Amino acid sequence: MISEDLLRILACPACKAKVELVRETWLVCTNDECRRKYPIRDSIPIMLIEEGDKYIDVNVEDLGTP
Amino acid sequence: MPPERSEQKPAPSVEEDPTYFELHAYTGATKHMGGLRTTKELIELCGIDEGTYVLEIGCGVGATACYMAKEIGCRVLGVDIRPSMIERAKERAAREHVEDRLEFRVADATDLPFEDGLFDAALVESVTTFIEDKTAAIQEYARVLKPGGCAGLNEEIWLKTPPPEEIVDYAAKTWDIHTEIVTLDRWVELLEASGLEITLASPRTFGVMTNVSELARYGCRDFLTLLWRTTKLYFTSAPFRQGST
Repeated sequence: MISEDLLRILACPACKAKVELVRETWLVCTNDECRRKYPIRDSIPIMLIEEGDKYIDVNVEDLGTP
Repeated sequence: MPPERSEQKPAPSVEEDPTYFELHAYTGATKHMGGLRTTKELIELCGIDEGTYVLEIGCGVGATACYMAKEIGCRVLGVDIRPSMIERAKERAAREHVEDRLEFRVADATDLPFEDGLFDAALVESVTTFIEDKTAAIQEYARVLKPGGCAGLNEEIWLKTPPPEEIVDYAAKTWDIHTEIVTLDRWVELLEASGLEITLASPRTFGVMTNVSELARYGCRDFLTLLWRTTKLYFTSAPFRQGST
């Protein structure tokens, strides 16, 4: 579970836009041109650009269990 | 279709590939030049107190983050590029009952996942040395600091240049340092180029015994766990045995 405080200060490592929590398991960049999605695995957000790159073309609704 | 985790090539286990950092993550070990004494000095120089919000970059297994949360009572956010390190750091925070003051994220020092100007202090112990693009990393340290915030770095330097080739080889093999180790003057240049004002840049030399002070970071249980995991690895990992002899 990510605290509200932490969510507020988190940014996309690539474009520095805000990220939003989706289904408690994904942090999705709010910048429409970036579209990176970062998985939360075992309660650990993986905020690496190469990780976000893997899900650029995946729609938010199609994101599975990280 | 979303990529499945099973499609990704699994990372080699520590038994298959006992690299310097994966060994640390597996055993729970931590090692910084100068040991706990230098960590304390860095904390003091950065003026870290109970009200300081600290970002620890390259927090490894969380030894310093937990130390600060426990002994100083400040809030710490630790990041490391290796998920295995963050797992250990979280375990340690739970064991030491400081979870309420600590958070951890997997992140790259050269692309930090934070907004600008968030932290009062950034602590970096023996991390930037290992990073190829030191300028990018230091620019990120400066970016996430509040105006007037303090970055404290403890990094390896060459006291004399050019360094002897055998020492460069030793650093590469023993500590996985495959990047350029720079002089103190070069570190100052890099920091100043990122807009940081230097308040102190001072070389330290340490003997082997100084690093023994790292043992002070471990409680009895942690030390025995480290010993047990290292012994177990010796018997289960041929690459580790070969590297140890």
